[in-house]
Amino acid sequence: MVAVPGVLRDVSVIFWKQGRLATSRIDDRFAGIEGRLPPDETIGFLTDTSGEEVGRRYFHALYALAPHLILEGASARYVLADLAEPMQMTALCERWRLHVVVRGAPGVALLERD
Amino acid sequence: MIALAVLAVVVSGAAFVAGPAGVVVGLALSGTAWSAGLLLFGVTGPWTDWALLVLGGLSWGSRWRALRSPESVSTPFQPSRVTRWLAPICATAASVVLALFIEHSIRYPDGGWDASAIWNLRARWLYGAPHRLDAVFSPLLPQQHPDSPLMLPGLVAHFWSALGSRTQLVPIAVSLAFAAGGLAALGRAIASRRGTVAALCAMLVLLGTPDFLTLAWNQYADLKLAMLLLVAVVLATEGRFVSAGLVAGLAAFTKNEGLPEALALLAAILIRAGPRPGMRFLAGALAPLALLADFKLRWAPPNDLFARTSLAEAARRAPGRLVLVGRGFLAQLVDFPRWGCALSAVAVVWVARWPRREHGHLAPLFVALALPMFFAVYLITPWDPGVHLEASLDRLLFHLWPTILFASAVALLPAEPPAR
Repeated sequence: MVAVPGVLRDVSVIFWKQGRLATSRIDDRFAGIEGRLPPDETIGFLTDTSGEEVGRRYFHALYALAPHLILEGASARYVLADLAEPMQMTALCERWRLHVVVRGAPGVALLERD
Repeated sequence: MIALAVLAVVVSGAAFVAGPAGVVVGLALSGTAWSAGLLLFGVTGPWTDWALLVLGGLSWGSRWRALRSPESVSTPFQPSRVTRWLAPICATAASVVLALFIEHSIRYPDGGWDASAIWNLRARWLYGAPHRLDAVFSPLLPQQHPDSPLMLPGLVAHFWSALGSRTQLVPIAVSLAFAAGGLAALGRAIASRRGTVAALCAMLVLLGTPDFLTLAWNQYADLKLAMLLLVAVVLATEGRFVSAGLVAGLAAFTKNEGLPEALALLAAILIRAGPRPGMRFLAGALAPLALLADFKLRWAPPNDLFARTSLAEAARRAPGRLVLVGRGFLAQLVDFPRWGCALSAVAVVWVARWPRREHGHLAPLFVALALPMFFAVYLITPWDPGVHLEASLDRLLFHLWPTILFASAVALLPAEPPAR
C-alpha cells in the first residue's frame, strides 16, 4: 500500500512528456564543431539569452565539447556561440570582430577572431 | 578489454561480499582503482583490472573461511502464503520501474542536470584528456565541482576506455547496475534477518520511492553512494568491520558527503562495538581514504562550502536558521513527488513502534548520528538555506534511505524463528 502511490507517481511522469519516444542528445546541437577546435586551447562562449538559460547553454557546450576548456566571454581566439535567435549571428560577429569557422545546429557556431 | 573490466568487477566485488552487494562493491572498486592508477601513476590501461583480479583472488581465502562458518549457512527458501502473492507484486513493481527507467534513458541518455554538469562531464574529461589532470580539475570551472571525488567518473571513463568508445550506454548501465544491485542487496540483507516477507516489503517501499527512479535515470552519484552506505552498514552489522571500512571508504571516494557519512558509521561502530572493531573499520578504509586525501591535497581545489565558511560566521548564522531548517526537514515527510508515501509511512511506523523497538542495533544508530550532521550543514551553509534545502536535502536523505529501510526492518520487526 505504501509503495503504490510512489509507483503511480513514477508512471504519471510519462504523461507529462511531450510527443513520441525520441532521443534528445546534448551532443547533437554541437555536431561538427569538436573536430575544428584547436587542442589544448581555451575557447570562449557567447549567448544571447539571459538568466538560467545562459548557464544551461554554457554547461551543455562544456559537456558536448569536453575535453575542451570553455570559458564564458569573448576574449579567446576561438569563441563558441549558442544563440536563441540564429539570425543574430551576423550582428554578434560584427560586434566582437569574429567570423564563422563552422556551424552546428541552428544558432550554434564556432567563431574565430578576425 | 571490456570483458576483462566486467570480470574484474564481478570477481573483486564477490571476493568481499556475496550476492548482489558484490556487484555494487565491485563497480565501486573498479572506478576507484582506475582513478588511483591515473592519479598516482598516470596510467589508464587495463592493469587496474588485473590488479583487482589479483586482489579478489587473495581475498577469496578469507571469504571462503567466512562462507564455511556455521552462521553463513543460508536457510532454505520456504514460500509462505504471503510471499506467494507478494513476490509477483514486487516483480511487477520492479518491471514497471525498469520500463520507466529504460523509456527515460532512451529520451534523455545524458541523464539529469548534475550528470551532464558534473559526473559525466568529468568522465568525458578523464577519458578524453587523462594526462591533463590540472585542466580536468580546473578551478576555473567552480560550478562543475572539481573537488568532487572520482569513483563514478573514473568508473565511466574506465568502461569507455575498455570499450574504446564514449557511448552513453555506459553511465546508463552503471546507474542501472547500482540501482538493481542495491535493491537486491537490501532484500537479501533483510531476508536473512527478518524473513522474505519483510524483505519484499522493504524492496517494494524502495521501488515506490520516486527519488529512487529519479536518481537512477538522472545518473546521479547520490544513488551509488546510498547503496554503498547500505552495504557498509550491513557488513558492519555482520561484524565484518574491515570490509565495512573498505566499502565506507569507497563511499567517501564517491561524493564529498560520503566522508562525514563514513565517519558517522565509524562513530556508530565505536559506540556499539568498541575501539577494536573501530580500528579494523579504519584499517579497511585506509586505502580509499588515502587516495581521497591524495586527490584533495594534490588536485582538487578547495571545497566551496568550506572555503566560504568560517567558524565565527557559522556560529552567527546557525541559531537564526533552526526553525527554517527544521521546517525543511519536516517538509520532506510530505514531499510526494520525491518520496511518495514512503518516508512519511516509515516515520509513522517508527513513532508507533518506538516503545517496542529492539535496542542495540548498529544501523539505526548510524542513521541517528548522520541526520543531525545533515541538519548542521544547512545551519551553517554559506548559501541561502532555503534554496540549498530545496536543491539538495532529498538527495542527502536518500543517501540514508536504503539504510533506513534496513534499520527499520531489523529494529522494528520481530526476528523470524529459524527454519528447521
